[in-house]
Amino acid sequence: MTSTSAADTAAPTGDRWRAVRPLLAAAFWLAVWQLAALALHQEILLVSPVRVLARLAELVPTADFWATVGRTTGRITTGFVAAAVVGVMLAAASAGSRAVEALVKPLVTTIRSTPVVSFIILVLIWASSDKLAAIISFLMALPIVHANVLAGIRQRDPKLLEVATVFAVPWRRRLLAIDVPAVLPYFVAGCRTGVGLAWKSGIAAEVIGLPSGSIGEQLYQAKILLSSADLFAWTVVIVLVASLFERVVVSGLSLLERRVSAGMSGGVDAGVAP
Amino acid sequence: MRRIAGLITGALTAAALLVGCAGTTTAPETTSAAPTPSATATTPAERTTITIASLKGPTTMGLVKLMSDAEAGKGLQDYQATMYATPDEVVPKVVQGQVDIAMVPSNLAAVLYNKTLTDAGAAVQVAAVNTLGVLELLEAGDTVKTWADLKGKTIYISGKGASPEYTLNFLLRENGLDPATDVTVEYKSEPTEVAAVLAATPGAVGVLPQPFATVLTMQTPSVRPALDFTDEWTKVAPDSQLVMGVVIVSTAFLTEHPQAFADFLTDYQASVKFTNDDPAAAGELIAAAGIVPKAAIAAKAIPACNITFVDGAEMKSALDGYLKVLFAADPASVGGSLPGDDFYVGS
Amino acid sequence: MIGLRAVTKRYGDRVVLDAFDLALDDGAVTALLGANGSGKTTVGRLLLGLVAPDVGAVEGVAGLRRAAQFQENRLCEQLSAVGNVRLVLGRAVPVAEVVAALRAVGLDDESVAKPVHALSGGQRRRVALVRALLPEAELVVLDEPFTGVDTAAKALSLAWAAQRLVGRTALLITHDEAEAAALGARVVRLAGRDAAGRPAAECDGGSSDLDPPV
Repeated sequence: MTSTSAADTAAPTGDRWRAVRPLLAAAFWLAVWQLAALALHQEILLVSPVRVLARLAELVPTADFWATVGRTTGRITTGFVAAAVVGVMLAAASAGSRAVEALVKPLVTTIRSTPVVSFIILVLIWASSDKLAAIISFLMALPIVHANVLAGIRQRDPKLLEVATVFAVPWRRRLLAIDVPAVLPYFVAGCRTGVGLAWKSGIAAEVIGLPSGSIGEQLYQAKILLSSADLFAWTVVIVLVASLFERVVVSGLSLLERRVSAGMSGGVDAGVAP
Repeated sequence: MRRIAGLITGALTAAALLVGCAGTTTAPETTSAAPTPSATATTPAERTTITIASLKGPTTMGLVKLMSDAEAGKGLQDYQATMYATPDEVVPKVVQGQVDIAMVPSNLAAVLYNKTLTDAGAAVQVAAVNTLGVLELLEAGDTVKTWADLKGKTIYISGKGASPEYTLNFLLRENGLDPATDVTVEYKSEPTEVAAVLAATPGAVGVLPQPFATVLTMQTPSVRPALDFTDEWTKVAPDSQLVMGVVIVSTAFLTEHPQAFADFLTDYQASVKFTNDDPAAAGELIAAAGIVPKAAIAAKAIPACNITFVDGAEMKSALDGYLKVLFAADPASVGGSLPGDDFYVGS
Repeated sequence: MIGLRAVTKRYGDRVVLDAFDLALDDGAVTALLGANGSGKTTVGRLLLGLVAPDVGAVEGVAGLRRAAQFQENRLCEQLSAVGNVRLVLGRAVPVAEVVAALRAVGLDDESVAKPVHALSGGQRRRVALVRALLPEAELVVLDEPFTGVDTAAKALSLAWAAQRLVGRTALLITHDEAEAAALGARVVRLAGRDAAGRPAAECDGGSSDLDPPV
């Protein structure tokens, strides 16, 4: 009796700690950071988290801040979405035709292995700085999406495909019922990785190209004017916006997946006529 | 008897020797000419190596004589001067204390002062103004005659975060244009990039410092100067001067080697004078340093470069005036606050 | 005539069918019985056009509308039973009809609407059966259609299947002679190998014979 009650009381406590643990860990490292900054006492080398928060509090309420975040987010989103669309199209084309695959493969491999900086410098010669972030995000995310979607297409269950062949299922219905569910997890994985890359490379492009009113410009400004607080503050902003963006993309895709299967099932869930 | 005689002789000899020695030491003092007080001072003080960082442009153009003398070992001190293409290469070196003296854009001098300020005082101080207005707006065409003509155009410029950016923004606003909406400003990393764009794109508009402006207009006839920033500044802010570049020194170096620093200033001032008085000879050195391709072009550009040496009270009033204008437009451009008196050497 | 004429099929160096002949009864069910590995499924795949013979020909199948229930269920896991059946039917058939068919083989209203991955093995098998028999196909291949289906449900399903197969040309691959009888099928046996080690077919029950068709 006593042993069971002890076990019972132990379980809820364990669950409570699980939720709190990451917060405690974060608080610990923030405290370490604050102490280190105080010990060094040189803001130029290590700024304290308190200063960073204060700077963020100064920045966030301004209209300029939101305009800047909006501009950069818009550019990187454009690049990423284009990469997702083109990536899927190229993968579908590659899966369908050996010739297309042979042509596309070296292109994608080259893009993937070329260092970002080389692209940034090249694109700056050809285009103005405000298009730079979109183009670079596109170039960095494209090979990832393409590779993932192609893998997904290739691993579709051949048995299901045979079913579609035997019953002569029209291609649109087959796409929604068989292809999309099979490829979607791969596409989502590609998007997840692609989003992170798009953001990192997009910001790097902005720091080099310095388009006006962009987050990259703010980072450069923080560098040249020796403002560590600004540098950290803007970095926090980037990390937050990028994670938010990733969440939106992934949950959006899951929603799409559920809609598609519900539609295919024929809306039966809404009540079957006996 | 003999022993006593020996002792007396010994004592007498010793006494004589002592007197003789004393006599010898005092002799030079009395026989030599009245020693001048500075004799002890002119005994050569230790020669130190002074590291100098300068920028590719007018600041190094005023330094070339000093640099060539240093190579021949003729300077008052030993100088190790390195030229950099962009200010953002120099700034970290100053912060890390890797250079004793640096030539930087004036607003960055204030930024460095503010950001390296400790409880013990300023870590960097400004010793002299070395460049006044040098910026020009150029056009690969013939349409821009006034500021209003710039509306809707793309302006290429280098020097983000430094005097060129803030000067351009100030002049645009004072002339009724909003830098964010009425024009598109494209920042390049260095002046040579801007020159390349102007040379290659008909109709392009860009801002270049001297000597790059002169070099470009001499090499590419299609490019003409449209607006001179020094004149334009005087039109809208007649009480202040356009102070583009200054000489800063690390306080640590200044306190440890005051004499060496004074020697540097002497040599530097002479070097600036040399460049301004003998452009032909200076042009040769400038071309050899790789700042300008040809000596003749360098010689022609020197007068427009406004290379100068202003220190003391005059420096303070000129620089303070310019920094006030920048501060009013954007406090971040000078590092958040106007520098105090301890920023200025010899104030 | 729908069937196989002198078909030889090899997988690697294993001869699965050797100069094999089979004629399907027109508008009726032909049952193919035989030991495991005797090539029954291969016959089905040849008729469906999923593989081609190495020697010989598959006849009478060109342009036919086909339907099949495979040895594995091969269902779209995220769709419901109704969804899986409508996938091959299209919108032309009303949902109510699909639901009625599923209920006829013993699936209740709740099972009909859930995604099929939540159904039991026997339920899934029946969904595959309905999918194969509900479309108006001209050639149907059923490969061991009642594996894993419990007795009661099997009775229901057999009854419904028999009614759907009336007038349809079909191949039933099975071990179970009772099934074949229940569906009124002529039985053809793939009796393993003959003296020379080649697969042979013999027919018993029903009125047709073995002779190669004209």
